[in-house]
Amino acid sequence: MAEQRTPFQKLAYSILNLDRRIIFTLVFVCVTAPLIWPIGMDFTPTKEVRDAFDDIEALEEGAVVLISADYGPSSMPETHPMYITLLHQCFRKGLRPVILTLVPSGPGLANRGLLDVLEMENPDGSLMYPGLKEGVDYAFLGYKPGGTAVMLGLGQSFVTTFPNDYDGDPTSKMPLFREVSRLGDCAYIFDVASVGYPEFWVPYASERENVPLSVCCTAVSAAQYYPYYQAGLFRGLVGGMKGSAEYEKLMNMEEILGKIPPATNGMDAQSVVHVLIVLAIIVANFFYFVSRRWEIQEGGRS
Amino acid sequence: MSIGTIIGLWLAAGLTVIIFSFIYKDNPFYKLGEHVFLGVSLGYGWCIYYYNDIFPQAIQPLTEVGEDARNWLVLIPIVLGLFIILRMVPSLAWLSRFSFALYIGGFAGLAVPNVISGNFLPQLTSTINPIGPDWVSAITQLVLLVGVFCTVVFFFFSWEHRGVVGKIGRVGILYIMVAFGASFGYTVMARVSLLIGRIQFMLHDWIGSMTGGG
Repeated sequence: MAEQRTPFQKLAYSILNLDRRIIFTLVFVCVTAPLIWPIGMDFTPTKEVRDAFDDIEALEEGAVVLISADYGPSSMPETHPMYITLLHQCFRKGLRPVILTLVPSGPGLANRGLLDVLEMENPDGSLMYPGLKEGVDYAFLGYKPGGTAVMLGLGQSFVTTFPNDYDGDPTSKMPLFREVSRLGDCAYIFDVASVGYPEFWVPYASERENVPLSVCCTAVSAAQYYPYYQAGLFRGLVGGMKGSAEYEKLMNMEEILGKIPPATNGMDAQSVVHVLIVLAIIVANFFYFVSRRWEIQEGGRS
Repeated sequence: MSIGTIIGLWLAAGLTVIIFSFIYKDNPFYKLGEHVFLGVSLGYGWCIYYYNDIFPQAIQPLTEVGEDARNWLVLIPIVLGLFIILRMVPSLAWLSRFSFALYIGGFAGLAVPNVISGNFLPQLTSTINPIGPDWVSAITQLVLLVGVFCTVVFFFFSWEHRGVVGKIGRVGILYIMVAFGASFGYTVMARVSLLIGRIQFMLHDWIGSMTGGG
């Protein structure tokens, strides 16, 4: 039968039986090329991302924002840029972030991100955020196992739930926690998460303590969180690397960092790969249906 | 750049290449990378759990002397925790029932009121909002209402899915398919994002450190 095939049929069957390594190579090229030679595709921040950004912008100077960095290295490209951007936004507005993490792989990344932002310098070599004091202008509480139990504990007291911060310093001696003793005293909760914690922050913290909540999640989780945003349980929703890129754009991170920020940098590659995937779906389906027709015709003849 | 950072970058880059080599085919280098990952993850996990959980919650309260008196009450959760581990001993496995009974009872008691008032009811309320005020909102609300109704009917198995019920159920399936499609699309986007992150690391951090452009 193979000898009777026309060149078009040969092409169709070779595409339908394409070696997966060719597809991987194409994806690799489509990701790498735009990262080396950026195209600069434009994108517009969506309402759900803008809502989160506007909420933080509207907070008064000195307000405390609880940031739960519930992500690990496996989702770093999607969530870490958002965490960094959020810290910049907090320090620029004079807000006081209290950072914690509920996942065991989180403290190292969250601490490194915080130090990166604190040590950031202006073009003239001066510190971007000088004079910030731990325990006064910000706090990093580290990791605590327990998930919902920690959320409920924070509703009672920061000091009893986290007697010491990440460095082992007692929180009871920190001026920040004398002023803001429990979760209900915070102005905002922002959960940057790669796991299912956002849906627990709603009933056990946000709704219970009446503190608004916004969420940055991985793109995998974004679809399941839209009902929460639509119901107003999440004030804003930053989904995946695209959401992080939108937040970077709203925050004008390119000017702050002096280079294209990481999530924005990935958007060209993301768009090119998406075009490749859509084309692959169309081409493969076209040849699949054509080949089915040939097989039915051949079956009829025999 | 410190020597430690340089070694770390080369290790991370080497392991990335080793793991990606699986795309070509399974090989001993990939197996090595896989085992290194498992070993490091387990070691890291143990340290994190010990220093954040076991030591401060169980050992420190029993051994601390001086200003903070010993807290013997922590023996209760420690014993209950040990009961769970006893599930591995068939003759003593029944002891774990006490721990599970306490845990499930306590958690259910906490979860039911919180989840109903803080999660279920607000979502229900937003679904049955009045239609309007402008026509765009009205159409959105109608699409939502039809979707919720038809999907709920699809999952209602007490009536046979024939006639009107069957047709409503079919509309429900369409909504479910759209939801799966959206979810799958987002999943593809997420996986591509992870690849982008790794290639960003290879290009900017690793190669950038060699060329001075990092």
